[in-house]
Amino acid sequence: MDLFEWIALILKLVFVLAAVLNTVPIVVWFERRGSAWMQGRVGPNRVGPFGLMQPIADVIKFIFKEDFVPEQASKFFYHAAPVLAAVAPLAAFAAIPFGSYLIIGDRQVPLQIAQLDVGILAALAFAGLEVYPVMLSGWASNNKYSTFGALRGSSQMVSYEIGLGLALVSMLMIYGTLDLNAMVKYQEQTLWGFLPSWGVFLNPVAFVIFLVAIFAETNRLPFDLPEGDAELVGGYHTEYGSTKFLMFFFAEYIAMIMASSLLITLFFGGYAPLPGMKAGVDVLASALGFGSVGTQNLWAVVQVLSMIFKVGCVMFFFVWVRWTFPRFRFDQLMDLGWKILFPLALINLLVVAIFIAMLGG
Amino acid sequence: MAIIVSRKERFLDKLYIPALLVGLKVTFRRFFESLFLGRTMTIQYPEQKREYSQRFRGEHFISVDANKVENCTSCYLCQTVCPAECITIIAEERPNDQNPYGVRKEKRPVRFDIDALRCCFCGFCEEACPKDAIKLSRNYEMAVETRAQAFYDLDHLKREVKGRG
Amino acid sequence: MGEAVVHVLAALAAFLGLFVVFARNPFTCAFALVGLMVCLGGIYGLIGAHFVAALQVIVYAGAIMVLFVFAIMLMNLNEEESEYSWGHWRTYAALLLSAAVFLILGSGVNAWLSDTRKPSSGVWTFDHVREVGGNVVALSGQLFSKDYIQFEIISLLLLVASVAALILAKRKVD
Repeated sequence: MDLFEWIALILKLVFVLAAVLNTVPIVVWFERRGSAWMQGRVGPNRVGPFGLMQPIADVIKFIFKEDFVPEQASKFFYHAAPVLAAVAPLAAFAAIPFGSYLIIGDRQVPLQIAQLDVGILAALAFAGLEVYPVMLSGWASNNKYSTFGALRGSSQMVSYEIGLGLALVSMLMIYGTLDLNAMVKYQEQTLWGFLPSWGVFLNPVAFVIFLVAIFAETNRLPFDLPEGDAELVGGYHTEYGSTKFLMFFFAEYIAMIMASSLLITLFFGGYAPLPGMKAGVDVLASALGFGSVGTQNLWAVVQVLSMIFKVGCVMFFFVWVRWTFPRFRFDQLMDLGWKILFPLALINLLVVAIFIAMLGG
Repeated sequence: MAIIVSRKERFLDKLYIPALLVGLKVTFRRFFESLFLGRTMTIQYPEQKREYSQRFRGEHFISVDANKVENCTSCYLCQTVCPAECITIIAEERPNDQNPYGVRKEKRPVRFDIDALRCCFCGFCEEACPKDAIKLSRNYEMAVETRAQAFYDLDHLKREVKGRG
Repeated sequence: MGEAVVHVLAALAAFLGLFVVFARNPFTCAFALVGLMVCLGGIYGLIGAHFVAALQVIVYAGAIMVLFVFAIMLMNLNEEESEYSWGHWRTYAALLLSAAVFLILGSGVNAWLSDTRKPSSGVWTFDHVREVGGNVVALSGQLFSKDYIQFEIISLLLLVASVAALILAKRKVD
């Protein structure tokens, strides 16, 4: 790697980190105000214009709270858990493409941190590590509520990973690749001339399974049993206060953003804008007098914006669902995971395999 | 008599997804109404205030006559009837110069203390009072910074309250 | 730089391996093992075997170790009571055995490292992998053409194993 590639890599890292970490407060703000709007309230509107400074006020509040450690906690794991919680989903972003490529000088800079031919597996591997902070914090804080939350959380995540994985396998069979960038390229085509050939149209059953599974994986309502405010106080982070809790809070939203980018890349065409937009951007670029390089760069910027827009839509959906549905009971949750989603995913896999064998074979 | 309602679950009901979509529609409509049409239930408190009933029983006051002399004659009826025992009255003879209208009020309160932290705002004192002296205003903003401030003395009770506040 | 990171990860893996053996608390052991698996995944990734790296983390760190930790949490194992007794013959036997295994493995690795005839042909060379278009293609090509009988036998074996586990567990419940 030469200097140019190093600088490009560092800039990409900074961009992704900044984009993700700055999305979190916006989503938190929307979580609070959006929930209010959905319930016919106004929501926090005092701090700054439209209450936009509310997340900052929240952070300041958290920082000035007492930073305690329970007497009987095992200190190392207790402190390691929130760190791991934030790091695991952030690492998964390395594999997710957020644009095709920029042309700088005469070199192409792909807008993806790590070009892996097994990108989806790498993302899943890091996402799979999200179980550990839950278990660590639950066990290390030496509290019965925490332990129950951790047990619930880990069994829930492990159970739904099966449905998630099988839904994923059916999509992988359709795309015929593990490379997320190649998946997006596949989805840039059109279906019957008007529909974008997004995964959601190709395989809606897998989409529903995947959607339910990521809700369970990120511990969002209606599957937030690991936190279970009503019966478990705060679940696995009961014993966490101040900035350590803030870390968990951030990590939850980072995991949500990660899951939604994965969902988009698999089912909503990733960074690809709608099929007709390429022509529009070409017209705009020629009107502005851009050459082929400028056109490609403009197109890449449009792609990044479309990725951000799509992530925003999915985050809206996350909030929307949270403030609509009540929480599941734990046995219902397990029933849904094992007795409905798992067989459904298997049948779907079989059907997709038969279709591919008939059409492609 | 119990009525047995048998509901057949159709295939669509068992899928749950249509029902979930109905739920999502409800919250989205509410979202739209709150955000764009401003139909919210919230009362933005310090700027907007809730309109309470005319009979609302709030902070106490003692009515005064034109010369700012309290109407109270220290008859102890309110202190006796008070279920929370929050009223303490100490009486003395009223000086003659406070009776300009010929109607002689023999006693006056030296101290008239109400412990607002004990008061249950039942309004019995108001009903018991033969002189309509003690009344409950409609003011509900009674937050104070110290306990001592919640201990209303005669000066505080004799403050000017327009109408019933 | 990649090579240096491989060495760091290897040292970390060895350190965590010692933790797995010597830590008193079963929870610490389990998490050291998780860390070890992640380190191994990192090493695989850095030497170019991305597919194996991802699978290492998904299968071992993400699935198997979760069940381990889950079981430890459920059984509420605490600090192990028994001390390592240095006088017992078993301790010395174990030491001897592990030293022998270490020597055998080490000499094997040493022989491989000093062997100048590294495989320059075959399916697992960098050139071949790049030629066919990635780890996954190379691996699946191998798995579903040349080695498909072994692959099917292993899948059958796993199926039998899971059915057997189910039956054993069911008998206990009944």
